[in-house]
Amino acid sequence: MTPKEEALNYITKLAQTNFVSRDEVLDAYEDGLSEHSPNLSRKMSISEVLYFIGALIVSIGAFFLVYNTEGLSSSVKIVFTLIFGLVNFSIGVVLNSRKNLESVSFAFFLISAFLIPFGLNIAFDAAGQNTGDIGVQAAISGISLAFFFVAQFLMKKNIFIFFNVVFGTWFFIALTDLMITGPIDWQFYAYRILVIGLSYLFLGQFLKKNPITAPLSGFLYAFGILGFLGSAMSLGGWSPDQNIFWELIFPVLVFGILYLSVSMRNKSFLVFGTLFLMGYIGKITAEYFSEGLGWPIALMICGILVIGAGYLFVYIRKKYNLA
Amino acid sequence: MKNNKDLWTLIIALALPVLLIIVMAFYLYLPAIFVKPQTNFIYYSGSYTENEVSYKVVNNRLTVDYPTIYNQNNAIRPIILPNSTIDKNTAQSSSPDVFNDATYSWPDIYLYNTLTNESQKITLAQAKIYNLSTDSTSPDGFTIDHGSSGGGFPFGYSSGNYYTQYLKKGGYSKKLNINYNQNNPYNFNFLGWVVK
Repeated sequence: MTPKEEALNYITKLAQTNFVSRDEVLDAYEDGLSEHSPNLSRKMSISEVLYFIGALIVSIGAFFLVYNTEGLSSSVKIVFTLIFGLVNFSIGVVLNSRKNLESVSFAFFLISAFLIPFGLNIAFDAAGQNTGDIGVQAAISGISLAFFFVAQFLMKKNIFIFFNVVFGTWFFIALTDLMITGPIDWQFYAYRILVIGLSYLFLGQFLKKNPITAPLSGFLYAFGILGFLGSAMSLGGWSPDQNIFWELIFPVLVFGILYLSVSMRNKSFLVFGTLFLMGYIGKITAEYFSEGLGWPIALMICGILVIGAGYLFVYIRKKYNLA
Repeated sequence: MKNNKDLWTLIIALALPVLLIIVMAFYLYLPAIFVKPQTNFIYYSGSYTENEVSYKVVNNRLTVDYPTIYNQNNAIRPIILPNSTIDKNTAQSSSPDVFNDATYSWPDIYLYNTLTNESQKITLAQAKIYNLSTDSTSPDGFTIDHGSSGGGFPFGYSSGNYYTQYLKKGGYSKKLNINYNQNNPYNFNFLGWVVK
């Protein structure tokens, strides 16, 4: 009996005894796919880096052309930005349809993602709108989001998911700013980043399951943890205006993230979890122990605890083989 | 094929921002239906000219604070307060720069009706009648605060409402219709809540 047949037979036996469910088997299968697929460990190729730099240079060129050239009419500015962006998007669509040129389309889609919102900004300005107005910002981000959402729906490319995340975040920030008419506590901004971070983490988890979209999960995890733990820490405040709830719950969240680094076998969780644990130790030491014990002793305690956190990082990484 | 667990992950990812927007809507808009401010306040908007008086509240009553004015030799020019006991003739004979009330600029004082959201100009004599509380929070729990300075992602918002004043209580905030001094359109000086 081959190992494959042996494995399938074993699964059949486990299923007969109801030891594993269908979903659990599927989960295990998809986990295997996403962990060992070449897509997951796929780094940006040198050509993609060059595409990115090229797209950035083209976009910066268009930016300077519009802002540094005197006497350009609004319609010419719109042509150099919005229309040029749409043309680039169309070229990207054409190239994407040809197998051997598909990777080049990445550069043209990037240029379009830079220039379309910029062009919309110029168009709103030409229409007499105050582009600094939050409502206009919400409109620009909303239109850009809708545009690339449709693009993703039709073409299903990772780069469009990335654009949707960026424009979606911008739209969410603008929309929530739009809702606020008066003064608001700073905590609101922290809660907003907390929600964005949490949303990124869930989105990253969703995308990780598909080998094609899995490369995006790393970016989402990293920014998600940064936003989530960063805002949770800031919500704790500082003595005497600290928030006890957030100061107490923070270590639970950090250890939760460290636990997830093991269960999800993800290094981003481990790195950021450890860094925030160190930051928390430093914060709490400075906040509560620097006066009573004296600053030098507090520093020593802080140092020892940070070494402990560092050891925890190395221990988890080695024990669970997190590359 | 995605199973239900994965789909739920996506639903949660998208629902979280929507949920925050719903919570914000309740927090920001719901209080406006129920919250009714009761306490009025008085304020003035100065122009910061050299000879302009300012107002302050001492022992719950409005008083006038006269500015120190310097002459060309950078020496303090003498002044005569409205209720001064100094013999005006003597003072005038000792210095040619004696001032009286007419010499000063007097910023307008306003009574703000928080219920109707209107400013009503009042005289100094009328303002002095009111019993004023200089606490930052009114007896019914409201504060006056300015808006945010703007700034956003990625183009930056230039239209921050930093100089707009708001009446605020928890999530409730209402824009105030302040009559600003024409020479200094952002100057707002809260004097006190009108208490019984």
